Amino acid sequence: MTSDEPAGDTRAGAFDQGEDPFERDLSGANYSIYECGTCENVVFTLGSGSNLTCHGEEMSEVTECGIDVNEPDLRQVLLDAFDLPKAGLDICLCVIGDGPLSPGEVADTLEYDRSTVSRYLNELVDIGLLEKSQLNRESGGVVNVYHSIDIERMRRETLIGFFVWAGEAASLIEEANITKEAYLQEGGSDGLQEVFWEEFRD
Amino acid sequence: MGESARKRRVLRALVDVTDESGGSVGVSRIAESVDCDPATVRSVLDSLRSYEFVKTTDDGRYEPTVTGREFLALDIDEGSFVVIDTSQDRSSS
Repeated sequence: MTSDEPAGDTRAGAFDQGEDPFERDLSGANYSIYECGTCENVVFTLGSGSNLTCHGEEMSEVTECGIDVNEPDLRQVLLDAFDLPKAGLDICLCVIGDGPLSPGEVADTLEYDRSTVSRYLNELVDIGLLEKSQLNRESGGVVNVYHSIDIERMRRETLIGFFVWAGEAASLIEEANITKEAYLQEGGSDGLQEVFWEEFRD
Repeated sequence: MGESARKRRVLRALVDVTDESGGSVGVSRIAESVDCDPATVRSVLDSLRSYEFVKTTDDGRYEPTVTGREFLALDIDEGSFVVIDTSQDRSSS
């Protein structure tokens, strides 16, 4: 049996990795990324992105990614993008299809405190994933009804909401790249680390 | 039929039959209307009563409440997320 390991790159400045540099094949992904051959414009699309143009020319599809990226965890994505913790998602999944339920019934099913359920219901309303309606009680006062928005609207809003978050994240990365580039061009005397984190202080 | 759909159908049937008859309705009449056994319908009605969507009369018959009628008027899709919180103070919030 012969070894399939490729020979190391011997060009000056190259480093001998002893293995292929990382490349992620994007051809089977259910999203597409396109780039302009003239400027730095990059476009992401979930659907078909054919016929995208920039500077009067068709954009090229990016078929490989040279940086290793983590597989996203849905719970972390929902938390980072929408500040929606797992408990909020659990409540949604518990109720859909089996409702209406009372907050007590949801709490019993999920083994949460009733107050926790009430808190997350109102958070889901604040995020925009639920609506809250008030119905008149025959004996006076109101009954609160928490219900989901139209499913097509929810699908659209969550996708667009995530893209907004991703766009803000991409802007941060680009700003980080520009900060590093400016530092190198200006020959800064302070350490890059200090300058960098000063720029991105919380 | 899912639980969500069953609750909604029973409530809708109760409203329709009540409006048709002009008064409270017995379980068997509602069961006949939704083609479901009376024991299941009674269980659903008890659940709806806990949400204050349904009330019982002195003779054990059922009527929809204003709350129940307003809930149907929300026109929420079947199978949607719905949580009913009856624990609020008796004042608008």
